[in-house]
Amino acid sequence: MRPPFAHHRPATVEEACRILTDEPRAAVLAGGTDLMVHLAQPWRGKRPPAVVNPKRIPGLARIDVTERAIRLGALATLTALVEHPVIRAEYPVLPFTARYMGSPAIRNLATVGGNLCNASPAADLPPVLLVLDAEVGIVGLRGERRLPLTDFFRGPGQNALGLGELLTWVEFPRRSGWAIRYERLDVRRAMDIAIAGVALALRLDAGRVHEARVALGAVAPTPLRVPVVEAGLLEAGLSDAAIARAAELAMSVARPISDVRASAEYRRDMVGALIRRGLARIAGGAMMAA
Amino acid sequence: MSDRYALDLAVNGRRVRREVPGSRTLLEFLREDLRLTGTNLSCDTGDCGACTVLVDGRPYTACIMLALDVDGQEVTTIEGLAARWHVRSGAPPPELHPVQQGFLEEGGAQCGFCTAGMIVAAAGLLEANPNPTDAEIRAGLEGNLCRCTGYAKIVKAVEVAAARMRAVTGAPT
Repeated sequence: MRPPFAHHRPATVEEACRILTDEPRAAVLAGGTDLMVHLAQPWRGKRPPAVVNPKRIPGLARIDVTERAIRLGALATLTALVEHPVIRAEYPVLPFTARYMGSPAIRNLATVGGNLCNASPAADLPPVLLVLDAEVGIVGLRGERRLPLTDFFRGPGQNALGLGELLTWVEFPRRSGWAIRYERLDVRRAMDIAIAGVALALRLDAGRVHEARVALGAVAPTPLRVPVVEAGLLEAGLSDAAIARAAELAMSVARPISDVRASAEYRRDMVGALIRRGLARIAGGAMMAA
Repeated sequence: MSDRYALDLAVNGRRVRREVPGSRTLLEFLREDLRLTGTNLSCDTGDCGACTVLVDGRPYTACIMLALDVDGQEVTTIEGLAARWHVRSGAPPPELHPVQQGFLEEGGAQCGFCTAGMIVAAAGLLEANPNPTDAEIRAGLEGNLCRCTGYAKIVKAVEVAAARMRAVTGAPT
């Protein structure tokens, strides 16, 4: 049983922003897969007196595909990611990653925006969206602003949203010719979270790495782009020695903690292992299955 | 808080109109307001699947949803599953849904606490995929925890039900 809380159901983004401005302690309720748990377990400390439920605002669950970009509405569910035909065909890494998250019933509820705003260091979508060069759209009473996703995560549970602001979308450019993978270590595939995660996106041509994006999950206070690893790959390619060096660099920039799931030392070792595994698979031509 | 909102939805084929508090969960609404107690409250955190219901034919964990979020939608609980199969398949009205019958025959239930959610999740899976592989059945039920059976008999029960349902609907095997 949850203690009662006030439930606001704004009809527009502007109304949501006004409520969030007037009630700074209110929490946005998207899929609720995390917030409803916190509301049931007030002893965990996150106990908002009110929720702002944006699900009656039209359009926030849309997935828009244009020639140049794919824009995921903040309320697009993980199931929608799994089922979207263009995403399945062009970015199979996203359905692959979403299927790691929760269970079918949880994926029917959980939203892309909720996964980002929740800002869990161990979240699965952020590393993948980081290597896709994603940007987010944020609306407040003074209008909309765009922010690179790299600037969105500020700490465990902390994001860049200011007073009265709502995340409305995340967008990434539509590209071809990239090899993209997500590698995750966990105890159990379903209903579990990552011990460590690695997302990789490489633009390859004739055995050379022309562009590289690497991001780590669950080994720092935030999901982490790691430019030093990316620069190494541009220089040295995907030889065995280059892959070993990339793993060492990733281990050196990771800042893991010890918790109930794993020790910091183990996480550091495993982020290296995941980098080696993912790069070896890309070098071997393994694309992510749809 | 005493704020109440109008809720208008279909539950097990019947239109239901009620006023509910904004913080009422779908599970509380089903169990306490409608007295449909077949759906179980277990973990209350969405982790175990015992509270699984279908919303517009897809599985959801009712314990972590607000009743107001299913306004205008169609909810099916374990109590309405047999009738749903009758409506969808045109088969004569059965006492039990084929998945319930399969669990009964194959010993898919022991203590029974997970069973309603497990059966509803399996029925939802078979609506989306009438001919699942063993791996697809296990993936479809990955959010439903059973601490008794070890799952083998559950998977078998779903396979048996799926074959019988395909025989009725003519879905390809």
